[in-house]
Amino acid sequence: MTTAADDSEKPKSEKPKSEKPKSEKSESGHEQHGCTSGAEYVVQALLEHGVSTVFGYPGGAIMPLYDALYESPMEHILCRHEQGAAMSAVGFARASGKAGVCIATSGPGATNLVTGLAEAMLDSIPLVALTGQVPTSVLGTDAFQEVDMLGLSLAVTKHSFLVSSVDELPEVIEQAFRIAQSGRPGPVLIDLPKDILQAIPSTVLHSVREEGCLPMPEPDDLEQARVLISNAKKPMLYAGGGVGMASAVEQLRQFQALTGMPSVVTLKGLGSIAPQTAGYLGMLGMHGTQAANLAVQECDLLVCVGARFDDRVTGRLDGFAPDAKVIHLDIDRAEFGKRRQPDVALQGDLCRILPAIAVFSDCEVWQKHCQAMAHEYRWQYNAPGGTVYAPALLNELSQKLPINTVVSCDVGQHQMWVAQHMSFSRPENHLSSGGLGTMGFGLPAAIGAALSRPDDTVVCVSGDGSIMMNIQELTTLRRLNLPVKIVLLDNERLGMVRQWQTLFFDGRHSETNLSDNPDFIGLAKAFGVSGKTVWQREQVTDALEEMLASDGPYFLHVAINAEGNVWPLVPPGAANHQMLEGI
Amino acid sequence: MNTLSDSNNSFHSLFIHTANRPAILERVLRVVRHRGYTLCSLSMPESDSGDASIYMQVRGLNPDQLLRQLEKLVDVHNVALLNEEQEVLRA
Repeated sequence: MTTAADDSEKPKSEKPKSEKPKSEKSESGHEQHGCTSGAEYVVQALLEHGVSTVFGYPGGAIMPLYDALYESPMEHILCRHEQGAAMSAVGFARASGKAGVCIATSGPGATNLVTGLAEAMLDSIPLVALTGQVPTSVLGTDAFQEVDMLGLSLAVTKHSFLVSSVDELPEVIEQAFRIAQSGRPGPVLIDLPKDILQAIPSTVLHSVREEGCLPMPEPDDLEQARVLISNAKKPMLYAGGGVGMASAVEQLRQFQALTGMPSVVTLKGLGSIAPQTAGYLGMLGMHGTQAANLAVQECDLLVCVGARFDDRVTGRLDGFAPDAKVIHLDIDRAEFGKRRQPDVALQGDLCRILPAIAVFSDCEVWQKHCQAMAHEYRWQYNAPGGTVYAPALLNELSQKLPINTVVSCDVGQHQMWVAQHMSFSRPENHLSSGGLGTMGFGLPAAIGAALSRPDDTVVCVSGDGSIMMNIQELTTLRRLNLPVKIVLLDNERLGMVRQWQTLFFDGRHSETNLSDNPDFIGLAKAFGVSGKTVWQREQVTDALEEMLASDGPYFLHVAINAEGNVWPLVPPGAANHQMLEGI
Repeated sequence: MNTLSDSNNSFHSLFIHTANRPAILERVLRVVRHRGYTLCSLSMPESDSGDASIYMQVRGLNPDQLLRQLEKLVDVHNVALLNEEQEVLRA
């Protein structure tokens, strides 16, 4: 075991701290700024939007903004790679519900943000990314560190701006935050040429504020939904990530309680239904529970709330819930009929729509049938052998954690085991890269979560493939001395790919052997993070307790069997009732 | 989203009313391609106002899906499918 470095030796920001943003309110209520540069305005505007923490990495074109940060009260987190900054901003946003902000310089700094932008796009996370750009006088000349970031952003953002005048900044920043946070949230990029950051505004800049209100669906559609619910014999609630994004967890739970229908959730919907709720069957889909998948196949009404019939959820689409009528609730009209045609589509704010369609459904027999299935197919943790059984470890860890713990994870087998075997009281407590499936998400996301929720425990569950994708962020963790507990499940394999090679590629394990991994505890030690390794099942309980009792960051390295697979599994091309169950 | 064997894989005429901002044409065309439609023709008449009109013909099935994806572009005000009569009038 290592000893954490003395706190007094860690690098500290040497910048002086000013007390307040330099702005005052005019008679119209708008903020007025006597800013001397575009960069100074950007920092002031971020503060006015309630941004207190940003994640980034400096470089040439963005230097004016870093100069403005130097004397501001803004907390800037220096990450060690721009992708780490973007993922930390996503973790910050997901754990707190606020917009995350990340900063990078032009060229490679900006391109390194792209995966983080795509991550936020696919999981609908409010993110504002600020990138430096070469001066406007040399735009389009292939100048040093010039890349067409506006062009690159088109596929991975909800919207993007290339600022062409310092006087545009108030409107652009206001729009960026509004677009990122309103409707279906998502990432917005603001590309900031260096000369604009340095320019003196031609007039006093005023902040602008715009408010929007979402209309309710038509009364006839709401009535049609109520009729379908009250007439259904086998209704099923299917909740997704949109519930948490809309802050509609309470409304969803009240809807479930009033209608009495059983429920399933997507990966991003975990935590939106309390796990102990009667008739709650857990996650559905490719690695969902047997009970969830079988019940959905059998239901006669599917009430889809903030979910999108993703391919990992439905399996073979034409065989998914074949006898069900569908009521689809979403903020995004483009999701209606994209994969499954709804019988009733209700667009708008879930907080207002759910109470409007909450009517009793006489489905007691069905509810009991679902509960019986949940019992019949409950998880078993008595796997033979003495090596560590990852599902059992994660289940034990989950039971030891305080209820408001944030668990981030990476992508692969361990991600599915986290979803299957850990419990979540709220969606914002489960940070998992759902849409994009980004290995390397877990550690920086945990850093963002720990900063946004300093009073809550934060755990990062990772795999030996994923952890190496953003391992440099251990430095950020140590610099900030954040008490993130990392649990690394190490099977010396790229486990999920290996599993598919075993099952669907005749056991040809091409390039999935990672047995030349580094000494992870030695690596953690090099970053100044304490930890230990466990190999045997009998060591697990003590190791978990030691980790949770530790101060500061901790790295628990767990050696697990390379042969372990994630079960059940809906194989590609199969319908969800055709699950494979292994040993 | 689309399968080539679908018999509805036919031409559709769209009218897009949008703010005339930089990259608007790139944004529209990216959505058309990414969502599985083939661009057959396009016109974007010059305009003195801050808005622009884009007329396009695309091939693909279920044009309502494309319409909804285009509507999500922040700069786009509205999108409409034109029927044959409206197309004749425009010509």
